[in-house]
Amino acid sequence: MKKIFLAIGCDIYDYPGLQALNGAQNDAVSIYDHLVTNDGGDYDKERSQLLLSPSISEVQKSIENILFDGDPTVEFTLFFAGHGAVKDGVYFLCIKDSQIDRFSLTALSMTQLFSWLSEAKVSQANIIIDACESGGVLHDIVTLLNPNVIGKTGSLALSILAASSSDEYAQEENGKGVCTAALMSCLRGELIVQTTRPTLDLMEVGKIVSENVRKKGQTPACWGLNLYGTAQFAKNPRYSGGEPHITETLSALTSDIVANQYLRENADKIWELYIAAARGFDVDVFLQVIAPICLRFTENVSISASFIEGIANTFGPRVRENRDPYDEPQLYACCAAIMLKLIEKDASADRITRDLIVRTIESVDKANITLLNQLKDDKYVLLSESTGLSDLYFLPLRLLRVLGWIGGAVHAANFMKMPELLSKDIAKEIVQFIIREYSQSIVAISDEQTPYYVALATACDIMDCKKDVEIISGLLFYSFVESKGRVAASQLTGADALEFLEAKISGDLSAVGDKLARPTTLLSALILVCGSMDMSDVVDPSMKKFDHADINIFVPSTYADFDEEIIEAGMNYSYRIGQSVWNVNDLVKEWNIIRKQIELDSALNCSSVRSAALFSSLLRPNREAWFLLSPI
Amino acid sequence: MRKQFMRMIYETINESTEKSGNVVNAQDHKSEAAAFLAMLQNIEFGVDEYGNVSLPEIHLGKLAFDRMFASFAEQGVEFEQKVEKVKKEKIKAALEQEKIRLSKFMSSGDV
Repeated sequence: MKKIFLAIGCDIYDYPGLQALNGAQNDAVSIYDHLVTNDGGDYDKERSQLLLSPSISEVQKSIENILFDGDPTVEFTLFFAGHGAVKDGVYFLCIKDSQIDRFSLTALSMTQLFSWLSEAKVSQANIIIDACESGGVLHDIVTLLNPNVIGKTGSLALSILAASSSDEYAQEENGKGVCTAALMSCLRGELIVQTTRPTLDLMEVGKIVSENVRKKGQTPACWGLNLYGTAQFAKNPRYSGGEPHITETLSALTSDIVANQYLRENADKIWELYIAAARGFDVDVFLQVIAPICLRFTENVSISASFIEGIANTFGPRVRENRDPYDEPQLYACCAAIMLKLIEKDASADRITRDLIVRTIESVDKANITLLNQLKDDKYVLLSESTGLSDLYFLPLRLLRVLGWIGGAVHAANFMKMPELLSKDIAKEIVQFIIREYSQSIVAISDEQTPYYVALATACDIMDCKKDVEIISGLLFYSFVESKGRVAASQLTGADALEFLEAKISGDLSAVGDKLARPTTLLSALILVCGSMDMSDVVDPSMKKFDHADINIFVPSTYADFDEEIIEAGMNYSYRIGQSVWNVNDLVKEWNIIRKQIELDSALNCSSVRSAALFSSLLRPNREAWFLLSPI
Repeated sequence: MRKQFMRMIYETINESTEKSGNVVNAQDHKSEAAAFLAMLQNIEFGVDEYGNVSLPEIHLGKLAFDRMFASFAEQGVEFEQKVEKVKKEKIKAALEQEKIRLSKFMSSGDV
């Protein structure tokens, strides 16, 4: 057994400035009893310890024993209830003999604790702090214990739940800390965390605790980075699949020395990504950092699967509060897209990918609800906060992106045969809201809109919004006609977008040739979708306006590479309007040949491959999930 | 790099013309000028997006270029007239072809 729990509860304080408490020891005893004495978490009973109002030397000695003596500790959980204090920007846990004027010698600093954890190479660390504010100095535990401040600890799996109150007595109820009371409710099953797994991860417990504690005026810190998959902090009493149990100490990843070493070498990059994720989720950077690490373990796919699960579990809560509600689905979609290469190799990879796809769909649904509420509060919420000028280019992209994720999630739910995961009514309401309030900005501006348009347009039958898609197609098509078939290439920088806009306004695009989509995929998509909706009568009379425009449909050799920045192998089907295509029907004939080629790819019969490939096209919008289009 | 790229382009064009049989061999003609005229007769002129007929381009190495123009200089007015005549016919044919091409588009009046 390498799973050790240290509970410290401190009611007694010997020195002035730190008043005695009356619930801290009770808290430590109750959680220790539950997790250790009563086997609520399969912790090692011999090495786990309960310290009640100890001295600093006793605490240091205990930690030394746990971390450095005997077998290496794989999982370490520290619970602390007592006073917490801040000095010179460092957070200290105050022990019985702590003295305010010499905290560095007499209190346990978080910096010191993290150094020990790093030195002892603890694979999984859980830290729970229920601290009363001391000395009348208001401090913000959320700020002090956030990952930016603590930084890289060298630990590959670290979860923190910390709550602090500014009034030392008000937040104790019936001799118990409010945070610990909520935590115990989760551990006893009085509050439901989840019912699908036999164990609880501190992160998911922390989320429920935070929601409850916030109602009582405390703002807890809850975050974690776990590269080992799901951590097993405690047994889950609300597990619906039978008796709750700890299956193994940690996943296979921790026992693989080479994998562990490789992860440690890359831990810094992942920590930086984790810290930056709360400022906004960057799809390209995420894929650039995470995909190579995940795919490094392809000889043992279960390790890759476990790693990606850990990334999803820990980055999810990190991006959940971001300004863009679609950051969370994009995170899960990225993880699913990375698994494209592994899905067919191993059942565990397919299982994790399916789980990630489900999470993507569910989080799109939540994002839809959030966005709809925001739109109802302020119909211009989709406009840029900074300058209106950028919206001439970026708003049409933003609108299609929202619509594309809606369509993508609808398709994925359909592929997975789980239509109940997403509210079609809410999705439809957003589509109609955008048409009503933003119709002037539903314009063809860039090829980057293509995958989003394809995802939405092809989902219209499932969503029962064919009329709405006809309107969107019409708006895009007519603006395309006005721009004579010229739109920007995908993924222009802000500076390039401005240059493109200036040239477009001047009517002379000759100077920005390298920024144009030549060939364009958006026109291919518009023609084919309009063809599928019997809108040839709208499109054909205007085709002459696109004379000499080059259009393209790219089909990859394999969808296993569909998430990569550059897809090396595939076929470009290129046509020139006025050479081989004069009307909708001409392209439809070509499409039906291409379609047969796409159907030869048996990997697309797998719903997880199909969904993850679709998500890849939404994450990297310079490729299209053409397989969504039915034979026309 | 550029040299390699250009070579690749010429090789591709060569493969394509060999395949279609649209090749004029200079050795089958009395002079470079005669070969040029045969070449002109074998190709169709295109029309650009602004409706202008685009004349063919000739890509030659320096030696071949000098020989070609020396051969032109040896020809009389009759050769020039022949070239002009072929050019005129080809331009006319290109414009007619363009009309046919454009007629394949449905006009707004067709709806």
